[in-house]
Amino acid sequence: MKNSNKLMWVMALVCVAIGGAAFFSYIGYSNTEVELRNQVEAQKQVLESHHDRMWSTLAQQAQVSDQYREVFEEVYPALMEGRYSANEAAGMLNINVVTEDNPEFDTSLYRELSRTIESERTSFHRTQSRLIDLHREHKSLVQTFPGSLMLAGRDDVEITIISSTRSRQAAETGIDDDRELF
Amino acid sequence: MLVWLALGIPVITTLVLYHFWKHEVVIWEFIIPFVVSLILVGICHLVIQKQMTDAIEYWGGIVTKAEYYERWNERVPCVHPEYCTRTTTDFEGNSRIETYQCGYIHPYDVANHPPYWQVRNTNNERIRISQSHYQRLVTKFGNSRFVDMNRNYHTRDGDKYESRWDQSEELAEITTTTHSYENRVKPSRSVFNYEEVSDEEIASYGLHTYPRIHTSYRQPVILGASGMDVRAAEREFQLLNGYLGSRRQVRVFVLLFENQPREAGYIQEALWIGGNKNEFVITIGLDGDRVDWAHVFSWSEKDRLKIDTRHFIEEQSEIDLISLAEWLRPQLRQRFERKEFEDFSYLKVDPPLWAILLVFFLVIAANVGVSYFVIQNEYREYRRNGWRRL
Repeated sequence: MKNSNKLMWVMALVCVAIGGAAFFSYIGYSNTEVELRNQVEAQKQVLESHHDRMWSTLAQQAQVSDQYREVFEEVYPALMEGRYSANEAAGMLNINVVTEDNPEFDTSLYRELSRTIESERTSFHRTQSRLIDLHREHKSLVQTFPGSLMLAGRDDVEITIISSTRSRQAAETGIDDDRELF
Repeated sequence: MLVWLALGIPVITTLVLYHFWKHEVVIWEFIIPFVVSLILVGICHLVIQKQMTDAIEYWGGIVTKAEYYERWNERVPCVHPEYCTRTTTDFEGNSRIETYQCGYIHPYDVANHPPYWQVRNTNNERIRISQSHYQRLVTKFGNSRFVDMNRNYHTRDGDKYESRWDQSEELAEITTTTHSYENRVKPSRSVFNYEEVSDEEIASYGLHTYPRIHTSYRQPVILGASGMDVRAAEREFQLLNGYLGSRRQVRVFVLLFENQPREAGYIQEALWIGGNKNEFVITIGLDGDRVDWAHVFSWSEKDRLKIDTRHFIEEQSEIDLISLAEWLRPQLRQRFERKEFEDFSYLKVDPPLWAILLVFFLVIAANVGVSYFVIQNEYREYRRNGWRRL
């Protein structure tokens, strides 16, 4: 084979190898980037749905607890008044005060509510963490070499972190000196 | 991934070969460095990924039967070739003696199969045990049955004896086996990963490492019970793991901490990287017999179950692990759901720098070897056209 022909073959081989590697790398990186972008977008909707479910659950449980408290507040004085007036008439007040079993306010609904709040908050935090993690993975892919070369010009995916005013202010100012819990 | 950049090395190899040894290398030989490098990098990539994401989880089960397979032997085709010689004559009339395989030395060989003992469990796994272990299980289960294996034997007909569990809780023999799975969180930079725990923290908080499996299939699940008699509670938790291990894919560990702050529970979680995917880990801080704090961690997304478990423990004035196990068993059966680690498949695993350098070194070495081979082999460029074999 002539040297010029051989050189041509070698250069063709090198070009095919480099071109093939670049082509398949681009396809791989591009597909991964699109998949991650779609996952981030889907997770944003999951987060919104989760947030809605969390507040619906908490609001309904709180309503049940409040309803119970209101009913109890209405019923309790009337109940006690009825009892004592009847007892006073019979002159038995001093004896019955120490022996009768008064209706007790059941705190289990509030205990249930507090556990639900913690559970829902933890679950929501995990959903939001997944969104943050997907976003981080996407940014790492786009910003680190060789992804930065392959995916140059691709936009970042915007995400919004759901947080409280207090947390946002603390994060922005670096100050959290409000020590009052209630 | 950076290891794939090693595929640039065969490009350099090709150019060097062409520049310095263009007459010793024929055209198709230039492809060899690319193929070898591609295969090598591909294998390295798979090995590195497997090595970095590999994790071990523990499965609970219950022995359903113990088996004893007797020694036996059988005839198998002979593997010892017999060689003969013969005289052949080539087309020029020269005769020579050649050796050829004309059969086998024996009509058959005999394969000996030694005896062995094993158990089968509710996860349909087989675990080898010792002879004395088998005898102890036969005594425990109180039955033994002969099973004719109907083997096509040579001189020794080995059969089987088996002893079966009667499904009662009293006689349940709990097993623990290890299984590997892919954990992409562990080597990643994910927000779900944990801070690394230092040796000083392990020592100062009295943190626990995973207990080893001993006596073929036993593993303690209550750790840190120094000075407490937890044998009855250990049995209860073993039963829990045995019964729910296969049904609910859950494994419970109870880790006790004497006079340690609540942070010990959090750092234990970091040390075990959240636990394995099937685990439900209960950490309890104790001040004598009094419960100081509890912290429950698991990859399971059933958060309410973890919170209820924590409250159940913290509402105990004195630690009562047996009542905890009795309460937990139906709770786990009804409410536990194992985390699917497929959910973390989006995580990219970057190999460490030393692994990348090692891959580059291997590819360079392979390219040098391939180059030497293509230069030294019998294929050379033919002066006028094409290639020729020397």
